[in-house]
Amino acid sequence: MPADLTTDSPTATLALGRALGSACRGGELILLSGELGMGKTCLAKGIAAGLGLEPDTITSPTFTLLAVHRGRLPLYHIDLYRLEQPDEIAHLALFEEPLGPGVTLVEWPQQGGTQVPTDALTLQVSAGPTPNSRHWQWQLATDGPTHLQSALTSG
Amino acid sequence: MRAPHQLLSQALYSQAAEHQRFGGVVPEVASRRHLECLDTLVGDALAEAGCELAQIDAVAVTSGPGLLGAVLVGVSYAKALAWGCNVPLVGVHHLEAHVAAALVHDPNLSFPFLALVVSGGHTSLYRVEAGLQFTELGRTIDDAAGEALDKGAKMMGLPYPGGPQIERLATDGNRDAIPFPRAWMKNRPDRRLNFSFSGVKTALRTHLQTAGLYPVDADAAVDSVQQANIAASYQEAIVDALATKTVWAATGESLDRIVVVGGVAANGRLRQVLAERAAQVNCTVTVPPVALCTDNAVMVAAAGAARLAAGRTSALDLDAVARAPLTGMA
Repeated sequence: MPADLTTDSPTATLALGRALGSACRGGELILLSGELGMGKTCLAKGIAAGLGLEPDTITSPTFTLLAVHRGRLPLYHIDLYRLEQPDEIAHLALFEEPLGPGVTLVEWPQQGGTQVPTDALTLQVSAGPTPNSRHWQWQLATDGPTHLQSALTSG
Repeated sequence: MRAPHQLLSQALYSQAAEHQRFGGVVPEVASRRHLECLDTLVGDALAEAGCELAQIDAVAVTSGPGLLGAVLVGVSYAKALAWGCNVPLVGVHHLEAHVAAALVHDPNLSFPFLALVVSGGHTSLYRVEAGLQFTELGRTIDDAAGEALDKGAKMMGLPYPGGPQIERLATDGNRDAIPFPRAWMKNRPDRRLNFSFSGVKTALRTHLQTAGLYPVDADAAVDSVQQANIAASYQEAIVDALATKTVWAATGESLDRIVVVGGVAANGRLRQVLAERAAQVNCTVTVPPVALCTDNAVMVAAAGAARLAAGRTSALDLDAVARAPLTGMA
């Protein structure tokens, strides 16, 4: 089911992420796309906060491709920005959850093509009506983490 | 490397050309090339030093953090080499190795000093004591400085690697043309030595968009003055934050020596601004030559020699790790 919402500031984006992170139970896949400088890492910090992690420790995984954080649930923060060959995902075992079921958050999922699983909450961020606002289009796969819907509609 | 820090030879196979095709360091390419090149490189380094394997005292290797596939290739090779030669294995931290590059450049460098490690994946400030003992004073809370430069270049439609492209364009630009933000963390005085570069990245995108330059139109005519001004102003915002906080850290820790390492240490504007600011507070600045600043094997050997001298060797079950803090690493 698709829908959309708007956050009017980075603080509101953090709060959206925190609501999503708090609603996670383990095993969720969240795909996050949008242009450079749109606030993807900001949402990631919020999700991490909802998992009991300190937002300042969530840095961009662009360089390392995968960052594993030990929160209330493991957070697998993946960034496919530098990936050009989708089949490298298998070589790198990026979706293997070494600490057990957790929350897998993927930035630049389009770089992974068909190698990226689809049982996900997909979020697409774009510029909103004011400089600090962001427009979020979301879609929940029927076999995805449908329990996250309340976090997207209650705010 | 002959202990303590006398360089005998080095061999470097640059993957930059390989990576340029892909717009970045692609891990699968990196580990495959590691496998193909490593043995040849070790042979070349020994030949150049006039050494045989039987003469080496220890094998040093980066055990992390980094791209796990590539780190694993190095660690496995080093274990086999150390075991085969019956010499100690010394696992070192990637950032520790970057700082050790300064000891190759200046063997008389005295401790303690302040280190700024600044690259595409890291931006951190450390107090460094004798024996390469580290205390973290600050770090980025989002993007690394080199990443901000690379992504900024990408937004401007410039080729990879973006940092040198921005620096080249900036030479002819007005650094004050656009007031890009610096994250001083005024509301978080206890964390003012941390860095944040996601704000300036967003500001650049907004500026480019307002000017009709983003998304990039490859067919549009380029206004070279405008492009130079944007590059100069963007680079200045990043350099200003790096230099200012580095000097804050040095004065706060009463250190009069600053060492800058990592790929972004190659940036001429950073070197210039830091030298000026440091001189105002009677600090000296040491920046190893570019070849020692970017990733290289000499720095790993230097860190290994320092650990070996302190008796800190590794067991043969040394693990390759993707992510590890520098402080508290055995």
